[in-house]
Amino acid sequence: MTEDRHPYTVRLAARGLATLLPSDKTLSAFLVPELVAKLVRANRLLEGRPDEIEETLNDIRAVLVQSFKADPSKVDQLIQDFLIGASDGGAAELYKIYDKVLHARRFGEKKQIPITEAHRVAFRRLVVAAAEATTDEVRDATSHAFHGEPYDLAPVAAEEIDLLLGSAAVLDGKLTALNGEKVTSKDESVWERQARRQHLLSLLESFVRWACISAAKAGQTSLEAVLKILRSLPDGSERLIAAIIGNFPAMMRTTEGLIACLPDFYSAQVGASPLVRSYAATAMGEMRGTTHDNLPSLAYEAFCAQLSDPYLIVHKAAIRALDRFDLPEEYDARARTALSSCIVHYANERPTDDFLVGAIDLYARSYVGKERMARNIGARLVAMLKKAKPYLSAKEIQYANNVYFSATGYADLLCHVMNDRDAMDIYHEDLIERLAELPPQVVLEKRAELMALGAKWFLQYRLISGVVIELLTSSGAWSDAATFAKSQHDGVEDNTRNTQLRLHLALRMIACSFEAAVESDDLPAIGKLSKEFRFTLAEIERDNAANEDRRDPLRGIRRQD
Amino acid sequence: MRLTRTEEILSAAYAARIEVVEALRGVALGSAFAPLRAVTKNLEATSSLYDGAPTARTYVALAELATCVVFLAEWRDAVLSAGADAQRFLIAAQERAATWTNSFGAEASFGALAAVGKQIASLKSVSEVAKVAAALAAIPLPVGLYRAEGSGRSSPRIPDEGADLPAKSVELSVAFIKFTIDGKPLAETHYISPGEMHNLDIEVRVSRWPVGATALIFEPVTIEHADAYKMPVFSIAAPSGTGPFGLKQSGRAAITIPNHFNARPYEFKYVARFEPRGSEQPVETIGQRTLMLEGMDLARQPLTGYQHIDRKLIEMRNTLRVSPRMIQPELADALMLAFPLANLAAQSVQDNVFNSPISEEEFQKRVRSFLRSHPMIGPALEEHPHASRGITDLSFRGIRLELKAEKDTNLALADCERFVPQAATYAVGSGKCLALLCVLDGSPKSKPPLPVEDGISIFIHQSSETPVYVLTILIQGNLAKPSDFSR
Repeated sequence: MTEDRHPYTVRLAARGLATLLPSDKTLSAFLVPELVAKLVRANRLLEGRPDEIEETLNDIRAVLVQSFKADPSKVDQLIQDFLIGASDGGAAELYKIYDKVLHARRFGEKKQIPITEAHRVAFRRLVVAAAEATTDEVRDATSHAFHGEPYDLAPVAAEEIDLLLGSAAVLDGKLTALNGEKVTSKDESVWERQARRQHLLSLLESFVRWACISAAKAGQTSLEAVLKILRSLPDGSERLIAAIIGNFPAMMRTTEGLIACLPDFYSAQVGASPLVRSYAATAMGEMRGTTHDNLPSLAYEAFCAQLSDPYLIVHKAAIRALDRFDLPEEYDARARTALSSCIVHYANERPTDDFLVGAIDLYARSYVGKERMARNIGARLVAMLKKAKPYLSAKEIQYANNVYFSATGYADLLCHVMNDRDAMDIYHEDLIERLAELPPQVVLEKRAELMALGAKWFLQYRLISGVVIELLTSSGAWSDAATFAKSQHDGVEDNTRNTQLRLHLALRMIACSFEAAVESDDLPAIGKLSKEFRFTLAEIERDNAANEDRRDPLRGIRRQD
Repeated sequence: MRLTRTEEILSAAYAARIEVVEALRGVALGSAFAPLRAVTKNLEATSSLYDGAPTARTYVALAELATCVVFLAEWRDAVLSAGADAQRFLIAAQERAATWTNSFGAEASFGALAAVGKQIASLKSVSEVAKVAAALAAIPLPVGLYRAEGSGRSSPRIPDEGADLPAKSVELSVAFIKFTIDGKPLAETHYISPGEMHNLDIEVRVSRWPVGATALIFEPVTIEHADAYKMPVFSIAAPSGTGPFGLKQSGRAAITIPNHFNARPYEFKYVARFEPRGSEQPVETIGQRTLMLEGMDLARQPLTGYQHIDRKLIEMRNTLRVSPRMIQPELADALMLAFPLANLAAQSVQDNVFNSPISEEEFQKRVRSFLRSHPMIGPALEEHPHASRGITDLSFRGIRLELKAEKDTNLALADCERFVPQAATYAVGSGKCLALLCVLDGSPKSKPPLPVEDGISIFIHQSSETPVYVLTILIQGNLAKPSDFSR
C-alpha cells in the first residue's frame, strides 16, 4: 500500500500504522524508509489533488513522529541519510518531523510526555538546521519552531544553552557578512536582502530568548552558563550582547538571577556600545516591580544618564522604558529635566518625529498633570502636539479624562486631528466622544470649526453631526444649531433611498428651530414647528409601514405562519 | 464618566418636550392644568430614555419645575374658586422648588431654570402664576439626540449580608532594623578601610514565619563584579514561637579594591527571601537595607594631608554629587582645585602662613603661585579670564575661583556669604553650576582660630530654578600667639 501512487491508499496504510504503533512498539521500525522516501519525494511518488497529497503527507509524518519517539537514533539517522540529496521541499518535509516531535511537548502536554532522548535529538537537529538553512523552504520549516517562548520545552532548551548561543553567534557572523556583502546577484532585490537580514536577526533573537528564558527557569547553573558566554563574547559581537541583555528581565526575576546578572547589566548600561545601552534601557522597562525594588541606586543613575544619551537609539529606548515603570522618587527631578530637554530638542529639530509625541505624553502625564496643564506649559505641549502627525497626536488625546483637557489650545488640537483622515479612520469613535466633552464656552468660540467638522465627516461618521448639534444647543447657540441642522438636511439628496435619513434629519432641524423659536419667544413659529414635528413623525411611521416588508432584513427567510 | 452615545432617540423623546412647552403656554393663558400634569409625567418618563446622557437630567429638571407649575395652577384655581385649603398647593410648589434648587441650582447649565425656581420660591399672588408658566415655557433647552451609556454608573458591589469575609492574615514583612560595621551603626556613606576584614552585623524584624520555611536568607545585590568585594550572605534558621521575631546575624565583609576619590561608593542592597523557594515570600521589605561603603584609603592616598579636612571634603563631595543638575566632571574639577586650597587653609592655621594683613592682589599672587606649583593644577590654571562683564581672579578648567582678603574685621564662615553672589555670577557666566570662593581673614585675632574644617562649606545661590553651588574656604591668617590668651 505504501508503494501505491494513489494518496488515499498510502494514507490508509499510514493511518493503519498509526493505529497499531501504540500497542505494538516493534512496528516502530516497520516501513520507515518507505514512508520517509514518500515524504521526501511526494512530487514523484504521489499522484492526486494537492489537498489530498498534503493530508497524506500529514498522516505519514504522524507515523514517522511516533517512530522517531520510539527509536530516535535510528529514525534520525535515516532522516539524515535522506537529507543528502533531498530537494528543498523534501528537506523541509523532513525537518517538520523534528518540529512535530517537539510541538506536543512544548505546548502544555508535559504531564503526558516526559522529556526523552527524542526531544533532545530533535531539538539539536532543528537548531542546527535553522542556523544553517540556505533555502526559503528549509528556513520556514525550521525557524517556525522558535517563534515565541519555549514554554514547556524550556528544560530541553536549558540543556542546550551552548548550542543555542553558539548558533546565535553563527547567525550574528552571517549578519555581519551579509551587511558587508556587495550586491552581486542580479536576481536578488533589495527587499529580498532585507528579508534575509530580517530572518537572520529574528532567528538570532529567538535563539537568545530561548536560551535566557530556559536558563531562568532552570536555575543558577544555567544562568551562569549564559553569563559565561556573554562575558566571553568579543567586543564586535554587540548585536548578540545586546540580545542577551535584552532578555535579562527574564533572568533577573529571582534574587540569585538578579545578583548574578546585575554587574553585566550595569556594564551594559554604561558601556561603549549604543546598541547595547539601548537594549539595557529597554530591559529596564521590562523588569518586574520586585526587580526594580531591589535594584541599587547606581542602576537608576545609569538609567537617568541614558535618558539624555547623545545617541537617538539610546535615549529613545530609555524614554520609552520610562513609560513602563515607576522611577524612584529621588530620580524624578533628573528624569524630568532629561525628558524636558529631549522634548525641547526634538520640538526644534525634529518636530514630526513619531517619538516626540510619546515623549510629550509621558511628560504631560508624569510631570505636568491636569492641574498644571492650564498654565503655559500645557499650551506649549499642545502646540508641539499640533505640529506632529495628526494620527499620532490623536492616539494620545483619544482617551476620556486625558491630561490635556484643560490646556489652552486643546480644542484647536482636537479639531486639527479630527480634520485628518488617518486620525479619523483609526480613532473616530473616541475623538467624537472627546469633542462632545468640550465646555460650552469653547464650543461657542469654535462653533464655525465644529460645524465644518460636522459637515466634513457627516457621510462617513454620522454621529459627529449629531454631536455638533448637541454641543451647539448645550452652549446656547440654538440659531447656529438650526442653521447647521438645515444644511445637513438640505445636503442629502431627496430620493427614495434617502427618505428615512432625510426625515430624521428633518426632525433634528425642527427640534433645533423649535428651541430657537422658544428662545426668541416666537409663538407662531412654536406652533408651526410643533405641527411640523408631529407631521414628520407621522411621515416616518407611514414610510416605515409602507416599506416594512421591503426593509425586513430577514425577508424571504422567515417562515410564513 | 465616560459616555458612549448609542442610538438616536430624538423621534421618541422630543415630542414630550414640545408637549410640555405647549401645555405651559396653555397654563400661562389660563387653560386647565390637567394636560400639563399629564405631559409632565410623560416628560419624566421620557427622560429615562436618555439613560446617562446629560439631556436626561435636563428633562428631569424641567419636569420637576413643570410639576411645581401644576401645583401653582391648582393653587390659582383653588383660590379663585374659594376652594378649601388652597394654600397647601402653594406650599407644595415652593417646597418642591426649594428641593429643586438644592439638586440642580448649583449647575451653571441650569441657570435659566434656576431663575424660575427662585420666582416660584418668592411667589405671593396667584396673578404671578401665568408669568411663571410663561417664563418656564420660554427657556430653550439643549437638543439631546442620543441615548448614552455611562460606564461610571455601576455601583460598587456590596457583599451579601452575613457573607463570610476572608480572614485577614498578618502580612509577611521583613523590616531591616540595623546594620553595624565593626560595632558602629551604619552611616549614610560608611568608610571602611579596603583590604581588611570587617564585622558586619544585621538586625531584622520579621512579622511572622511562613509555614514550611526553613531559613531566612539575606543576599547583597550590587552592580560590582564579585572580585571587588566580599559581602556576607546571612542565613537565619527558623526561630521557635510565634512572631513577630527580632533576629540578628553576624558576618564578615571586605572591600577588595579601594575606591578612587571620584568614584561612587560601593553600594550593596540586601534582599530578603525565605528558603525553600516554594515557601511564602515577603510581601514587604522595609527599612534601610542599602549599604554605601566607601573603600577609600585616606591614610595611603590623602587628599590634603589633614585627615579631618579630608573627611569634610568627602562629606561635601557626597552632598554635591547628588545635588540637582550637578555635572559630575565639573564637580571633579572643582574638588581638585579645592584640595590644595583646603590644604593652604590648614597650613595657614598650622604655621600662620599669612602672618600680617595683605591686599587682595598680594593674596591672589600667593595663591596663584601656590596652585601653580601643584602638578595637577598648575598647567591649567588661568588668571583673569573674563566672565559676565567681570574679570575673575583665577580659573581652572572653567571653574572660577574668586579670592577675597579682609584686613580689619574678624570673619566667620557665615560672613563669607556676602561674597557668594559675585562668585555665583562668574559661574553662571561661564556656563557652570559650581564656583570656588577663597577668603583670607588677615585681620588681627584676639581669639583662638576656628577648626579649619569649620571654615569650609558650600553656599547655594539660587536666583532661579537652577541652583549655583559656591564651595567656600575661609583661610585664617594673622593669628594671635597662643601664649597671648594666657595673659
